Amino acid sequence: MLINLFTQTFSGMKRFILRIVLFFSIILIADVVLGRLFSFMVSHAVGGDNGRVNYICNQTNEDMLIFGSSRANHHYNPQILMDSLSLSVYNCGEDGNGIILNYGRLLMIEQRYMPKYIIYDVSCGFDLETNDNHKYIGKLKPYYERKGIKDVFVSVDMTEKWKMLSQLYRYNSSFLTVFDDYLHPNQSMGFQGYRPYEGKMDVRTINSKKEFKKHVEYDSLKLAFMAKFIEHCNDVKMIFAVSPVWYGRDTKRLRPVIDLCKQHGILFLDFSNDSKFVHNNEYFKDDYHLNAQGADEFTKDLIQELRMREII
Amino acid sequence: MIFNSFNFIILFPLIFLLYYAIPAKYQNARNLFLLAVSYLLYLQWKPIYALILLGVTVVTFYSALAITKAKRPKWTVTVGVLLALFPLTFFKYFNFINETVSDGLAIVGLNFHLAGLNWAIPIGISFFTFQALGYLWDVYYKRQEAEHDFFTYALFVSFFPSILSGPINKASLIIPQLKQLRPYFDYSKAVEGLKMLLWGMFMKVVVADRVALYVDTVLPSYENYTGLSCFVASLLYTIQIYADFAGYSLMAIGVGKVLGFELTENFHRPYFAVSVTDFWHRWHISLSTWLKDYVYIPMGGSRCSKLRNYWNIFVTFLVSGIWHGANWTFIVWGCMHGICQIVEKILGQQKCNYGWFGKSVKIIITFLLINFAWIFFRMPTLADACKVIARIFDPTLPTTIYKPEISNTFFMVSALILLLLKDFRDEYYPHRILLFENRFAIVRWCAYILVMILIMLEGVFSADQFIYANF
Repeated sequence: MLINLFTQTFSGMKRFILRIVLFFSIILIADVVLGRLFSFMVSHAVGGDNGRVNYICNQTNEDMLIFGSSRANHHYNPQILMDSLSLSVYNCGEDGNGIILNYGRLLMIEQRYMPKYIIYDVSCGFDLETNDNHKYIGKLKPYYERKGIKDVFVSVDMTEKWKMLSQLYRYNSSFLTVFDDYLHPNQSMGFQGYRPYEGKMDVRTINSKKEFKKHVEYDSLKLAFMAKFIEHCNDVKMIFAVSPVWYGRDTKRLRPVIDLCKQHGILFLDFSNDSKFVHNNEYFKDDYHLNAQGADEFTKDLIQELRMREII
Repeated sequence: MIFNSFNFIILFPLIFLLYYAIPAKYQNARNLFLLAVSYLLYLQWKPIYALILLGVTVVTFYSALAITKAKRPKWTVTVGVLLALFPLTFFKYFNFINETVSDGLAIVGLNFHLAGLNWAIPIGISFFTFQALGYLWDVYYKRQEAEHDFFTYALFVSFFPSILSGPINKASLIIPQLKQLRPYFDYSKAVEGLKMLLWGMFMKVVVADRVALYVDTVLPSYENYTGLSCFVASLLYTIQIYADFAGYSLMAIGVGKVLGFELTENFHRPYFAVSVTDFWHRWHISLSTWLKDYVYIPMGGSRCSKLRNYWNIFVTFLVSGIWHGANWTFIVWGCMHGICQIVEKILGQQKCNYGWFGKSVKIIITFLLINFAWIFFRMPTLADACKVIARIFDPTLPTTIYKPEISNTFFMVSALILLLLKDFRDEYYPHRILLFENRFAIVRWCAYILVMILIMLEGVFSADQFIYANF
C-alpha cells in the first residue's frame, strides 16, 4: 500500500511538472508571437504616441530639441521658436517622465546626429527626487535592443534584464496604444511634438494654502544620468529652464542642477517665480501646466531671454 | 516573501523542488527545511529583526509550556502576553504613545517629550505576534495542547507564505498539519494552489495596482481635485484594498497548498455583505476570528446585558483599529465599524430579511458606509480625511472628474469588470459558468492562459508593496 501511495504521488508530481512545463511553453509561444506582432506594429506606427516616439528616436533632425516632462511638452511651442529663431525645432517632452527616459532617448538620437541646441525643462520630481524609477523606463522598453539602452534598464533595476526576456513585458500596459496607433495612422503627433493644453484652469480646484515639501531626497541615479546627459551634449548648446508654475516655486530644490550648470557653463533660466505667470489663472490649465495661451507667452519670453543673453 | 516580485518567480520553484526532493518519511527534515527557508526569507528584509521573530517565538513557546505546569497559569499567561507584545508595542506604537502623552501633557502646561524612534517596523510583526498570542491563549484556555517541539512551533509562527500579511492562522489548524505525516505530494491540492496563486496575482497586479495609479494621483493631492474625483478615488481605494489584500491572501493560501498545507480562508467576497456585521464575517476573516476569540468572547461576548454587549463590540473594533496602525485615523476607522455594528444590532439589521431589491439596497448602503470609513484608513491624518469628505460633499466645487489616459482607464475598467463578474458568479452562481473549474480541460487551460497573458500585458510591475505589509 505504501509503495502504491509512493508511485501514485510520484506520478502525480511528474504529471504536475509536465503540465507546468506545458503551460509555460504555451505562454512562451504566445509571448514570442504577440511580442513580434507588437514589435512590428510599433516599428510601423506613423501616428499617435508611438509614431511620435518613433520619430523622436529614429528620425529627428531638427536644430533644436526640447526635452523634459509634460511641462516641456505642453509649454514650449515649436512654431513660435521656429518663426522667431529661424531654426527647426522638435518638442520631445513626455508626460510623467524625466531624465531617465530623456537620457535613453538622447542615446538613440546621438547615434544619428546631434542637434545644435537642447532646451531641458527641469522638474524636481522627475529629474532629481527619489521615487520609483521603474515608471521612467516604460517608454524605452520597445527600444531595449538599441545601443546603450540595456545599461539604462540595468541601472534602474538589475532584474530588468531578465524581465525584458519576455516580449509581452516590453509591451506591458502599452499594447492598446500600439494597436490604436497602428490601426489609425492619421492620429496626431502634435505640432512638431508639441501638444498644447486648451482651456483655462478652474480656480476652485486650487488650494491656495498648499504647503510644499521642504526636504527633498535626491536620487543619486537621476543625478548621475543628468551628469551623463550633459557630458553627451558636449558639442551642443544646452539650456536648462524651469517653466512657470502657478504657485511659484522654491528653486533651491533644484540646487544639484544649478551646480551642474555652473560646473559646465550651461545657462540656467528660471521662470518659476515670474510675476507675469504666478497666480495668473489666464495662463494655466492646472497648477503645474500652462494652457496654450500661457505656453505661447512663455515661449515668447524665453526667446526674448535667449536673445538678450545672446545665446542664439 | 512578496509574491508579485521577481525574487518570488525565481525562488519559489527552487523552494518547491528542494522541498519535494526530501522524501515524505523525513517529515522533520521537510519541516526544518521550511523553517530555514522562512527565516532566510525574513532575513532578506532586515536581518536583525529576525531576532524579534525568534524572541516572540521563544517567549510564547516557553510560556505555553510553563502554563501547563504553573500553579497560577493566569500570571504565567499575563507575563507571556506582555513579553510577546513588547516588541510590537515598542516598534509600532512607541512614537504614537509618546506624541499622544506629550500633547496631553502640553494641554495642562507640562512640557515633557521623549525623542521619537526612527526605526522601520519589523515586517509582519502584527501578524506573527497575534498568531503567537492566539496560540498562547488557546493553551491557557485548554483549547490547544502546548507544543513540545520547538522547531514545529517556530515553523508555525514563521511559515513564509503567511508571515508578511497573514492569514493569522490558528495553531489548531497548522500544528497538526506539521506533525502528521503529510503525503509526499497532493496533485489536486497543488493544482488548486496554483489556480489561487494565478487569480491572486491577477487581483494584485492587474486590479489593485492599476486602480492604485488613480488613487495615488488624486488622494495625496486631494486639494487639487474636485469632490467627484475624490469620491471616485475613494471608491477605487475601496476596491484597491480588497484586491490587494484578498489577492495577497489568495496567493499565500495558494503557496501553502502547493506545499501541501491548508491555511485559513481570509476573504469571502466582502463587498457583497448586507451589513457591516456581515462585512466582518467576510473581510480579513482570520483577524476578525482572532478578535472574536481573544477579545470579544473573553469580555463576555453577547452573553451579557445589551449595553455590555454593545461595549464589547465597540472595544473589539477599537482594538482592530489600533492593530492596524498607530494613528488616530485607524482608531476612528475601527470605532466607526464598531458603532455601525452596534446600530445594526439595535435596529436588527445585521442580516437581510428582504427580497432581492432590499438585499441590493442593503449591499449598496453597506458598501458606501465601508467606503466612507476607508477614507479615514487611507488618509495620513484625521484632518486630511475630514477635508476629503468635505470636498466630496462640497456643492460649490465643479463636477468635473480626473480622467487618466484612455488606455489606463480601459485597463482599470476592464479589470474591475472581470473582478466583479468573478465575485458575482462565486457569490450567487457558484456552479455556473465555470472557467478554472470547468470539466473540459481545454476551457480550463484557455482560462489559465488568458489570465496569465492579461497579467503580463495589463499588470503593473513596479516596486510596490502590499498595503497590509505595512501593518
